[in-house]
Amino acid sequence: MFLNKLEEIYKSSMCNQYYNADLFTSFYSYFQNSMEEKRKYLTPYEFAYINSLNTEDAIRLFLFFTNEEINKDSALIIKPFFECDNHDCDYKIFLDEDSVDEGIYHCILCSKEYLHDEIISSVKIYFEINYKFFEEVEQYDKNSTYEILKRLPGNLKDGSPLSTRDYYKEEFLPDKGATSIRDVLQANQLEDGKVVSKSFEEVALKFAEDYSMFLEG
Amino acid sequence: MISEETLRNFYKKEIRQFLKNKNIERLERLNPKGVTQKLGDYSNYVAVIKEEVRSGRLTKKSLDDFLYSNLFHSKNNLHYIFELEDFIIKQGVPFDRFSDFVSKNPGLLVNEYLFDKAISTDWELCQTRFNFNSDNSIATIEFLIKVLPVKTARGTTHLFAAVTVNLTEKLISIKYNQTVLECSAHSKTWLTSTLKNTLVSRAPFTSLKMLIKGINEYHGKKTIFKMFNNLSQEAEKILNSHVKDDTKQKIIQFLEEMGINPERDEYVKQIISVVYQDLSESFDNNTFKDGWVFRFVFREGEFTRASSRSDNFDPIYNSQVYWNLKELIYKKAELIEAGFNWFIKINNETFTLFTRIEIKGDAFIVYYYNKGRYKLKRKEKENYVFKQIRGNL
Repeated sequence: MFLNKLEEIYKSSMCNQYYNADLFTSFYSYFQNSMEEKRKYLTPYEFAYINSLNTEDAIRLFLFFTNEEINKDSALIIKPFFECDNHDCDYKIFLDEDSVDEGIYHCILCSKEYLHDEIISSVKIYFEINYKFFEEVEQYDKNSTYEILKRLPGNLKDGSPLSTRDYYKEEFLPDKGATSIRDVLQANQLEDGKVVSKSFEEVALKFAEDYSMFLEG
Repeated sequence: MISEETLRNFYKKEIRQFLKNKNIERLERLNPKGVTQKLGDYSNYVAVIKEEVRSGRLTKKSLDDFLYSNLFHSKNNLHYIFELEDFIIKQGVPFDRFSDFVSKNPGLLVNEYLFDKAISTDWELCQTRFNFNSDNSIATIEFLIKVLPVKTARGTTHLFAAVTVNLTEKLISIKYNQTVLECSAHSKTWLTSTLKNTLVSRAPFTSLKMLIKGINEYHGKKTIFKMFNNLSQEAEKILNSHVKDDTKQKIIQFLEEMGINPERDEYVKQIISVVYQDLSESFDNNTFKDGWVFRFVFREGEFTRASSRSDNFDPIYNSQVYWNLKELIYKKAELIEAGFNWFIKINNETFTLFTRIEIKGDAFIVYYYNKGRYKLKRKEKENYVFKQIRGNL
């Protein structure tokens, strides 16, 4: 069921034109492992590192899974944040949760305040796993091999998903570094003027008061 | 440039010592008898330096060397390090047309005396310096930038940022005096990102075609772990050599007798840790040849932060906390921060360097502790840190 839902998104969005099935398999494994570990967030930075992708590509891939129709649940929820810059704190301050007044954010661990205009260039993005999205009553015999095989997506029938358990490997190529919100906006644009994630555009507009100015830097 | 706002970056004692070394006499002008000096009053110092330079008793060159070694290097204890993606000059290329380049880019103020520089705005370049390798290729390029005025306990003080572009390791650092930096009303993150932006897209830096790349947080955590692991290997090796050959066999036997599955490697390792811990108590600081780790911070899962440090900068290997957490650290192989005491050989002399490196935002943040011969050989020490980061990135 879980896989079906992800694959449905992979195929129905333009994701399959940008990312091949191998990478989707790796994404699926990463997603599944994270859910098994009961993690709250998927991080594109970790995924980029594991798969030797640049961060922009990793973020764009994740954005495809936030792009359900408006008013409908999505697999991932965009969570923009920045880190408190007090040493020994580094609390993650989420823009949608830790705003205390217009344009002011507050670190609940050390009480430091930040102005919107000062943090906007250092915002990073995590993706919250929407566990509800995957919760559904499964109406099939889970011991039936036939049912299990039938439910596997096409690209998995010939092999098993890649294992991403062995995260620590020496031979990774350096990736393209961290990415600011501006890079994410860039990643969100497709060649033909379309956007990957409508919900990301909404988020960006919500917290970037002067959108065009901030785009220009 | 020679103003109270600039000189407040120094202790008065430091300026007096410098002038004394240059045989400037009549220093009593700086502290007239019977007059109580205010903490933030540097007006006499400004007047004396200007007078001495104009009279020729103090050369602009020697004043420049003093300002350079402090403002570019030893005063700066907080460094933000990024990757250098592009730069107009490439590594290893002998730069014969150096004087050409300098005359075509007067805005860069290459080797122009700081004494002659009049600071008029914020985010303003004060001087550029080039450092060459023995083959005449460029090793590093350094900039001194006046960032903003800030209010410190001594009064309005210029916050400076020194920038080092290291072409060999393709890294760039933005360096501050943390004491002054913390007095700014702006966040450190914003100041640093604005400086980055200035270097990439504002005159006179645009002619350098600089491209700066942030560090992926996950990649950074792996890098810090590798540095930690490398430096800790020596301790592990020494410990290993003291562990008797049949130790592992005995542990397995013990687990079997206790009815615990001896195949579980983590149990065996945990018991070996106890053996190591016992042995490490006999360690003293002369045991190590390359240095040691004195602090670390890591995350367990998404929300738990675990850390340990020895406040006297001793090795962490003889603390129980380290051995209790060691298996957890090695399982994840990620650290968000570590403190290193590195032994660095410079011209056959060994220097110790106490630093703490963390990954935050999109930068490695390196803090230099005021310990040991902290001010000496800063350039060499900074290059050593660059090398360590690049070697493990």
